[in-house]
Amino acid sequence: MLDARNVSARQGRKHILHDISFSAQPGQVSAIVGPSGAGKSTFLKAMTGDLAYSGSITLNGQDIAQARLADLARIRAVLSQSTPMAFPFTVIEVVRLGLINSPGQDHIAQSALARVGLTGFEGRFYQELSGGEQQRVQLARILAQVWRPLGDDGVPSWLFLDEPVSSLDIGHQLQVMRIVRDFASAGGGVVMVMHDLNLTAMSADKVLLLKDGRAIDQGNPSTVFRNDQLSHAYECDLFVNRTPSTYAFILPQSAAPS
Amino acid sequence: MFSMDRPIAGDRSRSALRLTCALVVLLVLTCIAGLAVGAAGTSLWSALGDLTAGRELSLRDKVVLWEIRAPRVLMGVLVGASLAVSGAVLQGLFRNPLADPGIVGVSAGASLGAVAAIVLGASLPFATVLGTWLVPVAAFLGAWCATLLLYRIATRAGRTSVATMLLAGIALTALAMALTGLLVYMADDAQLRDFTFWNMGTLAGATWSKISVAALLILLPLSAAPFLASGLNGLALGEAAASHIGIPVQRLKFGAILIVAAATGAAVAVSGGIGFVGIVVPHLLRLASGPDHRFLLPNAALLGASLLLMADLLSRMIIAPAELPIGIITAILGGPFFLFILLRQRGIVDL
Ligand SMILES: Nc1ncnc2c1ncn2[C@@H]1O[C@H](COP(=O)(O)OP(=O)(O)O)[C@@H](O)[C@H]1O
Ligand SMILES: [Mg+2]
Repeated sequence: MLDARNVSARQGRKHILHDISFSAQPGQVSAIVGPSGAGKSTFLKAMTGDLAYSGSITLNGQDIAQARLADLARIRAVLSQSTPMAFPFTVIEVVRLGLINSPGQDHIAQSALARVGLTGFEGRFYQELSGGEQQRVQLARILAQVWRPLGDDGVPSWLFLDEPVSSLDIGHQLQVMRIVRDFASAGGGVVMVMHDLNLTAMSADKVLLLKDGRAIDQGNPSTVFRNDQLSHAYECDLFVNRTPSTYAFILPQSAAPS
Repeated sequence: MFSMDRPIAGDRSRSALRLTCALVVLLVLTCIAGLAVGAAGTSLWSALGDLTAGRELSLRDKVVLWEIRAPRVLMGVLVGASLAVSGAVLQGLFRNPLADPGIVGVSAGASLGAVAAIVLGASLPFATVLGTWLVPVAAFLGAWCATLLLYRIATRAGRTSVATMLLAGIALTALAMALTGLLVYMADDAQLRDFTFWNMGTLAGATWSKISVAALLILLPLSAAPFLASGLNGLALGEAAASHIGIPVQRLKFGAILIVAAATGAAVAVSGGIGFVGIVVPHLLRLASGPDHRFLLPNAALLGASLLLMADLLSRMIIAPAELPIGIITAILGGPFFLFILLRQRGIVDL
């Protein structure tokens, strides 16, 4: 499991995160939401070891501040908001970078590409793809890195994703949500920063709501997504409704026809 | 297995390997040409004929082939390989195809180190211990400082600004050249003669004793470079993503800077300033078989060696029996090439 306790962090001299405690279980999809600038990416960076923090963060019981990079790379993969690449690599070459420490496993790259629906793109140049296609190639790369959600030893693998669907059309948004759901169902853990509250309500087992670097609430989307709480976090009138299938869906009030 | 029989689209490893074979052949041919061509009337073929027939070589042929042409060819191979590999490693480190030791000030740093050793030589500590190693080691230190400084200036939070890198390179080069000028100004006649000799930037002065020092200094970083290859591939994703896939980024950068400094320092120490090999060679190879450093680095060594030998042949033939400095040839051919890449890249260079 992922366990973050009393995490505070700074970027430069500015305090960004204040005393956040958060946990995520393998087998579940966990989402981090909140307005722009709330500190979602910063918190994710702390959890992926890219940022110094105070407090403690453990992944599968291992303190990530003490763990070796190569050991971490074996149990968790990270997708950043965007990944500009130097040099003209082809799609298959990019995906194989996820297998850099798994010699002899190159065949996984094609399966990973198939998983994100990019079979046939192997020979295309990464730089000549659209933003959404690039994002899916990078997703294939990190899927290849932790191809098995649950290791032989029963140790779960983790995906950390920063806005994985931000540049995707609705069909591919749902495809990515299906991929992370399957990863969790197979025993892996998923922690993702999300922008779209409705997609989050549909896809996540747990959400963490951040505002100004503080955790406002966390838990099941149906309990966290409440009118008062969301309206306060996003500083606008939001109205939470329920679909027949019990998913919450959020309507911005000022834009709704009266 | 399956992947062995049917190549996957976009997998260029096999064409890169085929290219390696072709480049080996090219290098052998250019080496033979380097031994066969020269101002003296000596013929490699008649010498070989003599040898196979069991006849003793004339003293003149022996000297020309063994004392003049052979060390020169070997020096060309070493220097060309080290320039091209330093270029490729530097470009991988900066994640940019415009990084070249000559352009971003690394060579100027090496020159400053070398000149400091020539001029201040005797008064430096360890000078007597180092002996013939003094100039190459000083060049290495100069190149190392320049690379570290450049990296500090041009790279923020794992991102290199191309504009900053090129401008910092100009500033570093100017500074190093000014300091070099100052040292030359202080030099006495004997030192000035040493300096001029060294500064000519040709392979002409190659001797076996010079090579024995250079070979070690160049072969060490060249044989270490392949160990960085997959790390440099990962670094193309950016520093954060590289560490996420398990690459020890800090160690990789430290190693890359050390290798670039050693290879550039040694090349500059033995041959003066030879520019543009480090930018032309990796660029051509990336076009031919992709940016995978596992193939790029060895291929760069091979092509760099061949190209420098060809440039050396040109420099010996254009105004024969006199010679042009090889640095002039590489600059005339490489300068426009650099501008061409710069123009194609203009989008990301815009200030
Ligand atoms: N490198 C940085 N230096 C200084 N401030 C930063 C840096 N990165 C982010 N911040 C600040 O931290 C806050 C949170 O940023 P971030 O975590 O990216 O927010 P988001 O929730 O939109 O992902 C913002 O106010 C942002 O301006
Ligand atoms: Mg963000």
